[in-house]
Amino acid sequence: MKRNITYGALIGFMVVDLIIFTAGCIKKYPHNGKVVFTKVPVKTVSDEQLKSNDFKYASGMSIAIVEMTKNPEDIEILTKAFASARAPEISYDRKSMIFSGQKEAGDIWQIWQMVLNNNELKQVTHSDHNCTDPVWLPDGRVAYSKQIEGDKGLRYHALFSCYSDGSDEQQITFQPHEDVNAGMLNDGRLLVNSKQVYPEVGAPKYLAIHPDGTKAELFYPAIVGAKSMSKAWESVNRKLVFVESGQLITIDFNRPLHSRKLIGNAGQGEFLSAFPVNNQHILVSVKKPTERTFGLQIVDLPEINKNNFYFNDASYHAVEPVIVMQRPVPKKLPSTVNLDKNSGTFVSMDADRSDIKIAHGVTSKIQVLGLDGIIGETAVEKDGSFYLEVGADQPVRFQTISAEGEVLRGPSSWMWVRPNEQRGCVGCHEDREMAPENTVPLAINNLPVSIK
Amino acid sequence: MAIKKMNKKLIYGFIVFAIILAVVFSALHKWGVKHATFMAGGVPHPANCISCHVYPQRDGILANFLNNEYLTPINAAVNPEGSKLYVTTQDADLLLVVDPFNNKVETKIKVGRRPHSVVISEDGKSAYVSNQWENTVFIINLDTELVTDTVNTGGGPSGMDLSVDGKILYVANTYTNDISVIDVVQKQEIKRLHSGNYPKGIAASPKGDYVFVSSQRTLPVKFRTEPQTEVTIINAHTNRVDKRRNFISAHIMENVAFTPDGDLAIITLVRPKNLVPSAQIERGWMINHGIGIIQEDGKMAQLLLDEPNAFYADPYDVVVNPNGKYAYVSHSAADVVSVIDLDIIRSLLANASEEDIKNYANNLGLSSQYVIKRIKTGSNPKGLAISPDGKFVYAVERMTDHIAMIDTETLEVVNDLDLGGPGRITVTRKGGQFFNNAGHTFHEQYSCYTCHPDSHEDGLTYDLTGTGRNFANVQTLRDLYGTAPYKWNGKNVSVYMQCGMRFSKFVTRTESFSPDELDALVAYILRELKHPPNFHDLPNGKLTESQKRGKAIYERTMTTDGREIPVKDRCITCHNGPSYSNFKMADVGTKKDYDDEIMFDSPNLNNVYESAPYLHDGSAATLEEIWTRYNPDDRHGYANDMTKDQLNDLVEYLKSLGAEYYQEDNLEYKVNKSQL
Repeated sequence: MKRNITYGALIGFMVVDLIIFTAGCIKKYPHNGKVVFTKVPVKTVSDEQLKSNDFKYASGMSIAIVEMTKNPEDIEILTKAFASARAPEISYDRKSMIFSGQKEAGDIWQIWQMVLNNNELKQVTHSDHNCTDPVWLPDGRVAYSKQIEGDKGLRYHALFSCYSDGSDEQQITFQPHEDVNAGMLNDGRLLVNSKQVYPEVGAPKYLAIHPDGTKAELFYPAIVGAKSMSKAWESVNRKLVFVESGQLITIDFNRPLHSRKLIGNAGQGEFLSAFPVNNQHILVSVKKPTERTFGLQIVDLPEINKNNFYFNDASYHAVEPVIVMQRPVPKKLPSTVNLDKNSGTFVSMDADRSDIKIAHGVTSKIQVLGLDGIIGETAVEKDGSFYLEVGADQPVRFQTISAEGEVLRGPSSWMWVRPNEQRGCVGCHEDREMAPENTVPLAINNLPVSIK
Repeated sequence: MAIKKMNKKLIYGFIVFAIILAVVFSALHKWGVKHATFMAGGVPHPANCISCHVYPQRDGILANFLNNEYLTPINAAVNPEGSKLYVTTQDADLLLVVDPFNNKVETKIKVGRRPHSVVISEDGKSAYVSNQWENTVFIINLDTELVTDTVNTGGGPSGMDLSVDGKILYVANTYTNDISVIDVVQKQEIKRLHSGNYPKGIAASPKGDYVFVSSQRTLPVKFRTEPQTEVTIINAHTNRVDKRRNFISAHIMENVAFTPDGDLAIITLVRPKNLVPSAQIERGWMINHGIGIIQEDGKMAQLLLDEPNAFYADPYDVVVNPNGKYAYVSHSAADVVSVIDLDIIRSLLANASEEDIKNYANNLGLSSQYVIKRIKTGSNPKGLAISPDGKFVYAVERMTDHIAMIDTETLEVVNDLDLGGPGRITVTRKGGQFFNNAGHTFHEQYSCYTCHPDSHEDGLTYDLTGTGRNFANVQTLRDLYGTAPYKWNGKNVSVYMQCGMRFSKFVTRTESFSPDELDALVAYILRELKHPPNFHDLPNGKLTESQKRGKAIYERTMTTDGREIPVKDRCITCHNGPSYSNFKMADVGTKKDYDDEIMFDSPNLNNVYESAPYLHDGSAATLEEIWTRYNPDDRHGYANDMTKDQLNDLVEYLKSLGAEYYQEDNLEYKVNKSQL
């Protein structure tokens, strides 16, 4: 009898503890497991604008939250205080949300932070130019795209970062590209959707970049003809999930250039954005053939065959969905940027190592081009290597020149170095899966040729 | 009233005492945090005295209480029936007899110091165990489970294999760079063949014609040129070296295996990028991992097992399924076993031009064609063994005291065999797991072990600044306790600083270790990593006559023509004490045009014989070259008056320098050995 009472009391205590613990969790994370998304009114944004990612600063948008149940009804608007808001991202500890918002119509778009258990708001950026597409960095800073007016009347977005109180703002991409929709890779790099705007408009691609703006390199180029790509998210099992020109795509983190996989088929609808829930499921924004607007749906990997969660409203598009859930914090990469310096270096192992085969000669010189043309040039060594010191934080391109002065390859894509950054290249437009040959490039035996 | 007054006084006294205590504690704590953070190289570190002052201790009550005796299994073999597994354990000096189907360690057979490999005779009646720190092979009767015979070998016997007829046992002697040929009927060494540098793996070809021996370290090469690591090919009929085949830009070739019909020899290897300016780590700029292939017609190839954004560090062992279709490679720093489709490799190689073969060696995308599965294991999978029917592969998890049993049909781990090590994972053990794991480098590209195999060094010089300047010769991590400062430029006052913030910027290039991780790693390095015994002297523990003459030169105060050598120019001045170092910086005239530093830390000299190349930049390929090429002005010890014979004597003496704590131990062993 006594024993039963003891056991009963113990179980009772455990149950009470469990209730208290659960209540604590609910209070701390009241929105855990819910879906947060951007409501885009049909009236203000056309389908075409949506598909081409041209709705960043549209009016009347709002961020909503909803339980992930079948046919959900209680959709709560989180950004009632804003004229327009979008691009929500939840912190790794699921306590707060950052987003881009326009407080009053006509205001500059800024980055905002909202504490999720009390909806408390904090303005992150105080910029003179529109800021959008925020992403949490692993050290608590925030990266975002900011509209800038560059030389030659060019308008595009560059990536910036700052602390969550807005201090220490730093530009981290420096190229005439539209750098938007950045996400984080678990290895600690940013994955930014980048599209050249000068001298001609290029195809979209993902660049992987360290959060200090160093080591930008091609991660995945869109397939030929693709016009837009959504923000990409990495799942726990190292797959990247995103939408490319309306198609739902996964690629392997380990080998992104050669692992593209199409999920589902055109008959299942047109996709706009995707968020990996876990290794088996993706939350997508999709417009089914029978619908007029984009709705939200959970789909299974690798095939789309279940409708666990689906809703659609004819009056607005539901896009950019994310789930309030704990996510692993990416690695905090160390930075070698030294703002007291004004240059960085490029070392190339062999300028003639390239996928672009040419039959007329080998590289004699490398020309460095800026926005206004040739900045300088240097001879390459016998082994094809060159070692350059280039002014930091400015866009440059390279082209290889034959002994006769003919352009052999190039100009390359835009690149830049951060102050004190060291960059290495195996070749020029070489197979990007090749590791360098283990040799001493002759050029490294001398100091770098300064081109600023 | 008086009592009340007394109480009041007591209370006031207590309050004052508490305030003083709080102030002192606060000041001490503040100083402690500052001190710990400085010593940890800028990683904010809590003031936890035990971290630095107790965990790394090798002896003492506290050290014993905090640490456990682990088994640390390394290699395994299966009996011909497939019913028993024999496992060597490095730290417990045991051969374990394991029933893998009933999860039972049946017998623990005491073997020699630091057992490395085990080979089972074809009839299943005998086991041969190489005792790496004892220079012997034990022959064990598996019926009685008793050691019946001991055969002396060269230094550091490690990998072994039996000839196809079972009459000859080949043993790779790692520390003396030779191969013992042992007649197992006579139970004695009949021949010793010169091998590559640090021979490790060994395999007899199935047709019985050849024995292949893979090496861990590069052969001596011209300064700042590609490493070249030898596979020694022995003619098994004559027991003479038939060929020496070098893999270029590869090293740490730990093991080798043949396919059943002998068409491929597969060798695990690491491809360092030590000559490439380490401007970045992305895209395999630092170190790649893979296999070397030698085809029956002699053609060689190197294939990577890495992927563009994922590296599988430190391939250690390789076994081939009896069906000849699949090979299994353990990646000891990635905690996976890769399953390789050999038919795809055969087809790749059959259609490859010379240019293709050259490109394959650096192609990170190729592995997705032939690696069909990565099987996750526990920490630090080393030796592999495959059952005779090919149904199971056993992966020895060195840092968990477990064995993963892999079903080759499902390619899943179907059993986790506990060898009976301590259940508790101590701080030091955790450090061992970090040391042997690549998880703390960008894209898991390399572990501490990769550049410090066997806790030593890889014998290479790296351009870690990425500027073509200040090349760094990798230094040993053995016996570092009490030998600060660290690094050639002596800038690191502690191993914590060495592995701290700057380390993550320039070496690991990812998130730095947390204070707890750093504590564990440093405790492991300082407490566990020891030099092996140095047997470069006579079997009775005495120096040879040449070494005695060399010792006199080492300690001399006068030149050969009778002039006094200035104190600063005597060997013994900078290289004294148990580690043969005064731990001070010195300008010995070794600065080159590409160096920014003039002063270098006086290195420790224990087991210096196995640390080639020498000097801070690795420019001296041999000990001799330190004085014949890089000491023209006698600034690195007064030496130019010596004859060649005297220099030989000095070098012979230097080769005999070993850790003090072995001396009694060694003497006892050597006396016993000399009586054999």
